[in-house]
Amino acid sequence: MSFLLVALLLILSLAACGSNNGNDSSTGTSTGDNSSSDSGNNGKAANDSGSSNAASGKEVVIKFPSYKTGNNVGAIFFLPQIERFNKKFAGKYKIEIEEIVQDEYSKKIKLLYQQKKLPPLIEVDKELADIMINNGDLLDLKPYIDNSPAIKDVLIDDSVKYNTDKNGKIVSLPLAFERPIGMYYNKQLMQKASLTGFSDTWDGFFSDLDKLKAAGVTPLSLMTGENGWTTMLLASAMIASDPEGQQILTKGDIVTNFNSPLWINTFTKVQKLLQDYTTKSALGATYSIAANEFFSENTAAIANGPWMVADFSNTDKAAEGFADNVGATIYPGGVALGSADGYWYSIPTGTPQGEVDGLIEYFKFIYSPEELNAFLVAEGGFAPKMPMPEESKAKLNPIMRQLNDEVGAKMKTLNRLIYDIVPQSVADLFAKNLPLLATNDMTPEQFCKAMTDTAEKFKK
Amino acid sequence: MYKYNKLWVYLFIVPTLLVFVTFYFVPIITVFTTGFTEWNGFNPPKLVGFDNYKMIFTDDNSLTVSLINLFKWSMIATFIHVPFGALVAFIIFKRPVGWRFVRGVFMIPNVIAVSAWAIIYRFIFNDQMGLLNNFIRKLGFSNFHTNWFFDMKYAFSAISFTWVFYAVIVTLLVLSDLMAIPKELHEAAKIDGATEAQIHWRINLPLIRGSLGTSVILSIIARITMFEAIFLTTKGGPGNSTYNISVMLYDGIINYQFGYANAVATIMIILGIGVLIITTKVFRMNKSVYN
Repeated sequence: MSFLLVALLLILSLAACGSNNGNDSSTGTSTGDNSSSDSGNNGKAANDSGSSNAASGKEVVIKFPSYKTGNNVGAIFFLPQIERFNKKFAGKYKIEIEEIVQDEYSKKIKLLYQQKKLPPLIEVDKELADIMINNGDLLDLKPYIDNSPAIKDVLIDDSVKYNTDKNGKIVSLPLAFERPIGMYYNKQLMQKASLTGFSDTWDGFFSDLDKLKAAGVTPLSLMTGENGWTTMLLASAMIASDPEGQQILTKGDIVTNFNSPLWINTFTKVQKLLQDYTTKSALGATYSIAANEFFSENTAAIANGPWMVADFSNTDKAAEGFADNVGATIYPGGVALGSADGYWYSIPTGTPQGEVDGLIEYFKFIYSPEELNAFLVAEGGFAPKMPMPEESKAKLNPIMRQLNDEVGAKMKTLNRLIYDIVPQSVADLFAKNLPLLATNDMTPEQFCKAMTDTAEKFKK
Repeated sequence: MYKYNKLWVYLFIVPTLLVFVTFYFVPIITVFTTGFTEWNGFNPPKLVGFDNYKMIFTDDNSLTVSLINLFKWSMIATFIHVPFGALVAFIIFKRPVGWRFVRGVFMIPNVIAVSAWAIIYRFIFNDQMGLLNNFIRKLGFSNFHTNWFFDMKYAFSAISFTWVFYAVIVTLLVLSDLMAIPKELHEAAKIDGATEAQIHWRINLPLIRGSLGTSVILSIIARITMFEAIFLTTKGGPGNSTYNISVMLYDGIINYQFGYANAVATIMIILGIGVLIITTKVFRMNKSVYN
């Protein structure tokens, strides 16, 4: 009988362990993994704990994932900036970054949202933002922004408008800067084809590519692996130079039908680029491979954002003096990419107040004149409401300066990327089908039809 | 006394039953029931009848492609993967010089995570810096360029290559069955004048059919659930050339279609049960090996 009692005690203790674990998980939320929409016990526990930490004068640790880590070019400025913040607010707030690759970031955030385990700071794409806004799961930043002139005064009006929902809540931190995405070219290789830059029209651009090819230079660094980034940028620029395309991108609604001449013509051109004007390695190439082709002077040009400029002088990636040989331009048709109409940092509701306060301090910090200027010097772009001081301008990389000049002189439209207006399923399919376009196993019509079918299939 | 023993039996079964119900039965029932709902993971599921299944079977060719790829991989598993593992077991069973070393080396890939293997193979099959292409170029084909995972012609084979020769589970299963065969049987056969080949064909093979059947089941089920090796290399592409039912399930989750994803999961479970039944029949696993 005593055996029986022992066995029963064992089972009961196991059950008790199980219930303890449950409590542990709610305690866990207080250390960072908080509930986004759950206003139940867990959320309350998290709130209480976060507030009590702040109130008791204990350092509040704010932990969130970021893709601007590791080899990501964004890490060069982002991580030291976090360190500067932690140093400034030592003893009060501490930000800890969890590393995640860029390609997987938005998927991870979606999964965490479904599990109600969102971190205190997230970047949302339009698709997820729409759902979270509808469910009231994003914290209203308006009261905090209204109380912080340091933030409010530098924000771009269009970005504030975009980030304000129908109830007047500001659901994501509006941008204070614009960073036009353009193209970079190798001046020496261009010179081989007697070119000093690319033409302002798409016909002229293709003719320039022909000239480069005739001179024995592979014109473009393209990629079909990962998310097909550099290829997608050129496709976005083509869409943005067409009046109908410009309208679609400006409107920003999610597109689910790609069976139109606009998309088919664009992907016909993309197919030509992949078949005639890029390296053999482009098939399946990741960003690092595409970039390496440019750094190794195997290709004449690459499309990317100004954050890439720092890499041109990085001797781990490019030869000494390579940066002196690089020029910058925007796309034909006066197109630059990277509109300020987009979502950026959001705080899920249910985030402990102590962490919210810390994040507001972080927003003030990154939008302070010193930090914002340092950011623009490091990663390019401009802040319309905060002109760059002369000393910062003097520090500006010549390639960035050239890009800024090009934007000032030629830009007719600064618009969104294709990925900003397509569902996740289409973005995934885009990268999966690009190799078929390159190898002629798929026609542009079939490519567009496949995107339409996928978008329709997962249409909510 | 009998009642007392029965109580003990039930008492020891309870924890196992609890674990099974909590971690297997309830999730399976949840998967099955939510397969009939529209559920985005944020809001409560809404009953939609067979809509998800209609979507799976009629909306596009995802299921057809997945099943065709599964069939091809199952054939590779049955006719290459399992025989290869069994062959290694037969070799080890004969205990030639260095058999322990072979067994150890054969074991290594299985202690490395599938995801790690996928990354390793991404580098092996990479066009620019890949081991394979560099070797081919070293052989004198200096202009050779193929990105194995991203070329429609080779992607399926490249994915198959990531698992086909890692058959240590098969080897261990078959080897344990081989070692369990009474020595007297072999000796008697030798006395009767049977050759080595005849011993293998007439005695060993029939007696290890249980482990061969188990290996086929495990191997095909591993193909049904194969995810990391595909997702970390081709993501099911190029096009749909390496698409499978696990990636189809993932697509449902990532596009907020939990009902759809769970309907796909139900199909996976049914496929698994089907494989179990068919293989059991084919290998007569429910009958004694001496029948």
